[in-house]
Amino acid sequence: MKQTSLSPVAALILAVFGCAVLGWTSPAQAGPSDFLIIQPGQPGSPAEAQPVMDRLAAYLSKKTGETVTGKYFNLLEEGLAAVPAEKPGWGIVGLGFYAQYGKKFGLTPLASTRPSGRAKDVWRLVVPTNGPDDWRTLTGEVRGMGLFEKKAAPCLLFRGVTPVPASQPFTLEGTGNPLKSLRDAAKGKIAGSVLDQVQYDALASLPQAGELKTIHTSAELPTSPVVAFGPAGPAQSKIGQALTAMKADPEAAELLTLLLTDGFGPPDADLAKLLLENENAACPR
Amino acid sequence: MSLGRKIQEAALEWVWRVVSRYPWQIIVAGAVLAVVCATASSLFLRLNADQDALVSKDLPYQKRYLEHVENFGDQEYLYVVIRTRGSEEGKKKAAAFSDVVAARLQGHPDLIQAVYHRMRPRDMGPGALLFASLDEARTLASSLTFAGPLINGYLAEPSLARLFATAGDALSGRDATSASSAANADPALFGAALGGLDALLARMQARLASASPASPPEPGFGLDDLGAQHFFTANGQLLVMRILPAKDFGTMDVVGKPLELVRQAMAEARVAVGGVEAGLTGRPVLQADEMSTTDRDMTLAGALAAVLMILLFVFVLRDWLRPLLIMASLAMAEAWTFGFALITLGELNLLSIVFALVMAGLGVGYGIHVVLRHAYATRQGLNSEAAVREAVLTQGTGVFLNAGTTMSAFLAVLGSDFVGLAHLGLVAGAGILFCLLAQLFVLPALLLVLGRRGHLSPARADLTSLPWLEGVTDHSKAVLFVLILSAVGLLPWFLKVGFNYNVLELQAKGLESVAYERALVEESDESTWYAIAAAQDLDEVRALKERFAAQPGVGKIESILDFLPPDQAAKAALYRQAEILLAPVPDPERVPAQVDGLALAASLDHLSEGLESLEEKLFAAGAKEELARTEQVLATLASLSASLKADPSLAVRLSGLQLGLGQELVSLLDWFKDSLGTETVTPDSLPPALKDIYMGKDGRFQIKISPTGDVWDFDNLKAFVESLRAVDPSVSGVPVGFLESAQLMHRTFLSAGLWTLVLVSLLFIGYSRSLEYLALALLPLGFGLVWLMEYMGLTGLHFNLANFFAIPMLIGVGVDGGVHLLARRQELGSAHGIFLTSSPMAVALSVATTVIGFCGLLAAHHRGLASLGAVMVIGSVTCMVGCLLILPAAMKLSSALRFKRGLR
Repeated sequence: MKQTSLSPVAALILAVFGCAVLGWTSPAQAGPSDFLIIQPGQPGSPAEAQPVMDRLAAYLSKKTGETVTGKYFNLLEEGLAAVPAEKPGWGIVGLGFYAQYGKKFGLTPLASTRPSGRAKDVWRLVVPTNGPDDWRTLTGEVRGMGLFEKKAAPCLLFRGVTPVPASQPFTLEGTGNPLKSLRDAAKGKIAGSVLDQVQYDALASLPQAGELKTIHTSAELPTSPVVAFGPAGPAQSKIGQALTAMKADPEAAELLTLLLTDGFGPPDADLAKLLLENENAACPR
Repeated sequence: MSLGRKIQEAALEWVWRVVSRYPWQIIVAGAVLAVVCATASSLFLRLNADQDALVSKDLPYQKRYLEHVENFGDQEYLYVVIRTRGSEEGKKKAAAFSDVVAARLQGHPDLIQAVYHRMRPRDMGPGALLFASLDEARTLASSLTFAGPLINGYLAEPSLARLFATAGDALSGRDATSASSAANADPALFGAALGGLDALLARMQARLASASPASPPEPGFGLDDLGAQHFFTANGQLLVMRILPAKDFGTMDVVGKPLELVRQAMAEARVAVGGVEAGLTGRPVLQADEMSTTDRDMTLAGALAAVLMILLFVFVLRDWLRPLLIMASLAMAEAWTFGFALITLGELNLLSIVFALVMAGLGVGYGIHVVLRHAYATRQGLNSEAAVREAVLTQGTGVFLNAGTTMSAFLAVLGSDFVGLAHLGLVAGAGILFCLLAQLFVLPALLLVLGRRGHLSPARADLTSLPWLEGVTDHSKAVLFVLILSAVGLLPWFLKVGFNYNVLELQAKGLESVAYERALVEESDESTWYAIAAAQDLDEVRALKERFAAQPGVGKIESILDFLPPDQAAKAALYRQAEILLAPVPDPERVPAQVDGLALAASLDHLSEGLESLEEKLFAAGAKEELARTEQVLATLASLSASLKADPSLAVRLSGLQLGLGQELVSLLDWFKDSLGTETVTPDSLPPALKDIYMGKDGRFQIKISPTGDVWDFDNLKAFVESLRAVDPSVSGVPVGFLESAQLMHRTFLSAGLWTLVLVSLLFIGYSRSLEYLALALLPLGFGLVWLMEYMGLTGLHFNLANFFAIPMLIGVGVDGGVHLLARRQELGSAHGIFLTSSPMAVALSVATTVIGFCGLLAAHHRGLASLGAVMVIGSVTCMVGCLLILPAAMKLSSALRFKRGLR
């Protein structure tokens, strides 16, 4: 009888299996300096963004002297699942995520982002030029990048409207393809599109600019916050300081461009109000 | 009568005998010799405008420099300096401008030997990729894990369709790694890629629209230029192009023709790339501009001098013929001097060529004395022949002594290591001798011949003397008191006169080359002046570089080490792994000519999908500019795709484009693969263009050291050279050469001044056997120079490397008046009544010709020439005041004192 030996393929399978078992039984514990970036709806994928996360982690490791690692999620469900699984010390989250899950995850603002150098954001509802002029008469589907958090989205969009509308006649849907949504809106395929300030500025360079009109503008909103998951400890404070110092650091210039922010500023005082508004259900539903 | 006087009288009698017996023979011989000399000189006398030839090759610093130039080649560049204003847009424009200039200069190897304005990867040789940082090498190597298969896919079928499909794959994010790499690409790289794609699509559109597309393969995709780095200064404010011109030392401006070509190329580039501020500088440019400015200034000054001189002569003598005879004699002397220079030296250099100016300034004076005495004698009633005899016998001594003095001043520099000055001394000294001969033989012969024929009218009585000065100088004590008091009172300003070595400050104001030289000094770490050192091996290069860098005043240091990248082994290991991922590159001839229209349309659609996915990211990021450009590209892609789908047979029109682009791309990938396989970069493996700059013929390595400060300032220059010599005493280069040469020139002038004083003293003592004579003869010169320097101190004018040349000429001017007035005193037996004779007027007229000759320079644009004009004009006037006031007053006082002693 022919003697059989362990083939290389079998050895590889065993090795992979072995690693998986080890990985399952010994999950890596995230440290207080490790972070998650959760931006539901941002185009691209975590794999594409990972090199930028690694660069940010390396930069912060150098500046704080702590070992920092980071991950990126642009799908809401994955982001929600990652928080208890990864147990991050801090993160940068979308405004909707903060408004809806801030209390649940005990998010404490550490700093705020500065997209295109702005300290405040504004959302706009745009519709085709032949669409209604009043959002109260708009029906159908409205898409936008920051609309994944269903409870928080109308609260943010209609912030500052008095009296606060109890509901709206259209539906709000999150999308990872905001430009496509905009084009669809211009063509009348969907009712409208919600743009943040950065996207609204970019609209001017697109041919669709002349085919759309704004029918609602929100009150000023905070930008995506940097938060601690839980109360901010010394490690997170250190991170917050390192982030706010990035603007003045030439070494960080390229990294800030990749992170789509002009720098980081102090936490926005409006963030606490937002949580309160959500809690008091003072938002349209 | 002393023996000296007897010999002098006998000699002058002999001159007169020769002149009176053979006037025609003298004139004809002189003229024939002049024609022969002028012809031979124009044919065979060479101009050597090489500045390096101005000092002795045996001087240690010059020897080292010449050996260095021989070993490493001529590296004296023209610098095109282009301003960027520090913006990215400015940099782009500057780079485009330099590319246009470089392109225009191609195809003129006879005028332009090399142009350095950018470095393309291929220019770095096969080891180009080893110049990446270790991080970049890692990124490149890891990128090939996803890009390798894409590249291999294209290489398997190097068609347009495959190229666009590959680009679409890279952008659409089918592969996580590829998507990640594309998403995180450098924004600048993204912009360039988008621009390249846009240009290619536009070209495709043009081909599809054209009924007769270019015949295959279509050239000019410029892929070799990808990744080219232009030579910006460290602060990014300037782009500096270095251009090595062909030199012609047979012309004054040396680089005139190359310069014209470069300026023309820059003018064309200004039209092609608007809104660019650029200028040309560098040592050869400054030299050429200096030549051009001085030439223009001298021409204007010469024309002005000629007009004023004619007016002066006509006014004083009411005669045009006598001045013409002086000029004819001077012209002969000048021609003989050219012949002398041909026989003795065979060439003229940048300094010795000014001998003609020196002779014109001084030689006219000798003739004036002869002619004015001739005019005076005819007014006294003598016939022309007797008047010529009197002119020769009475003026000969003065002319001879004056010529002897001036010759001493020039011959004193003979044997100097400053070869340029030594040659000037020899030629100008000989020229003065020829002037003497011409004015003592040819001029009297001409006066004799024309006088015998009645062509010379008697001079006007009232203008050959200055009787009003007789009364003034009769108050000798008062005159001397006032003048001496003025000289003593102004002495503090005398002490303020310094020496300014800054040759940049001699140049005309507003000169482009000066402005851009200043821009380089003040706005960048570059310098057109750099020192050079040589090292035997790389270890010595490293050690020297480190030590030079530690010295104060040292800026940029360039050496071959800049082209030997660090961490070569680690990078080569990374690249070895990456190289395996690339399939063998096919022969460029295997690029297919046939284009499948439908397949190409499909690949364009695929690319559009990839770009749309990218657009989402740009939109979310608010990248307006990139978004707009991507939109434009998408529109072109859609249009192309629609055309090809409508009529796939149109694709045949893209055949040449596919071949041209494919062949360039395949060739580039072939080089890329080779580069990945290159293990090391060594000095020997560098491309010739780099090796030629940094490696000598003898295998030694060159180190270029630029200063941080303004080394046109002499103190900075001295400090810079001293700090370099503290590291390497054999350091060489333009800063060292200039420092040494300027100091040598200064020393040579000072020692020549002392030697002149000794020689003149010996000459005068030998002639007169009288210290009083010596003192009186030098009195006008002494006071003239003191007043001149007091004036300079008052007005802030300093000596410099241009106006220092005035000193030997002023010695001639100052002594000239003295010896003529002393000769007249001797003739009269007393100084009383001297202003009733023609001598003071001759002195005044002689000085006036010098003043006129140089006053045109006062308005010169070249500040060096203007300062030379100022020193000559002021110095001549002060010497004249010395001659016409101090000397007569002193002579009269001396006579009075002697008379009193005689009475006692």
